[in-house]
Amino acid sequence: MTEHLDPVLQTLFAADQLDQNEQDAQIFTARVMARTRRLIYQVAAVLAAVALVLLMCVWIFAIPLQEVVQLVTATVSTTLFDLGDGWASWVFAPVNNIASLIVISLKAIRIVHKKVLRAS
Amino acid sequence: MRKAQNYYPSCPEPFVVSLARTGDRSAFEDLVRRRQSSIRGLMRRFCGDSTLADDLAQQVFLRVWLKIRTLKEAKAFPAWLKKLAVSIWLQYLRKNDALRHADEMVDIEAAGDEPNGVGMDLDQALATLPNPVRLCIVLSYHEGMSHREIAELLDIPLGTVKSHINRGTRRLQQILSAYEDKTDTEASS
Repeated sequence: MTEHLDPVLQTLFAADQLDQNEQDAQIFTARVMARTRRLIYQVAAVLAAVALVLLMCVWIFAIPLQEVVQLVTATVSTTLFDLGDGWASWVFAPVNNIASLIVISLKAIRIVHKKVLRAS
Repeated sequence: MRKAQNYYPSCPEPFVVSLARTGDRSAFEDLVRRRQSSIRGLMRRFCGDSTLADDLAQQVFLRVWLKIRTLKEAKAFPAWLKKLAVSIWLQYLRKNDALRHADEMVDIEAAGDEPNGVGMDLDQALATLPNPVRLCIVLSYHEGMSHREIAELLDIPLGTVKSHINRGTRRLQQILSAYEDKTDTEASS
């Protein structure tokens, strides 16, 4: 496929290039570098602020958080089925709890989701 | 002993891009120095205002600084940079609501704004075109991109690109020939 372009316009575009000297280029480059430096400082300031807020939250909520963690740990380690004290309880111990159920469910949802996405 | 960055200008661009991707600021600075002229020129063609063009070009390089780690192949840098520049320009247009009325300027040949001739240069002629038309014209004539490449870059149908370029070319020919006639008349009188 040929793409016809007007030769007069092509010449005009080629001739009318940006007229700049070396000093102009240096000034522009220096401005860009100064803006990147400012950007680095801004990102650093934001990260420091976030870290500070997180530290304060941990400090304020340390005891309640610990209680929540203990409660969650106790809940997710609860056995699903009572298999007694025999070998079966030892064999199925890694999967016979709420935590395993949650993990397996999430994995299953992810696999189904991927298959549905691929099908569509 | 010369510093490593003193060698950058003599290094091939993909090598400098690879270094910039690792966070080397001197390599990035060298990339800015290498590419600033083309990006500023492109932006000037888009907006017709050198101060605004410089500001937008700076934004392009800031975006490069932030995103260069996501660039997979160093050789793809020139095309990627051009894409970023177009994206910054489109973002600017959206912010300034300039595209909202673009469709209203469908029949540009029928537009009654006759060029005044005096002082009419290419940038002024380009400024009379609706934004989508100007974008296609600049990418075609200034950047030398094919219609297909422009369609892919702007994510618009190929037919639309062809139509924009044809209409823009006709309009520019019209404006510039009117300017030529006027200057000829002035010169002979």
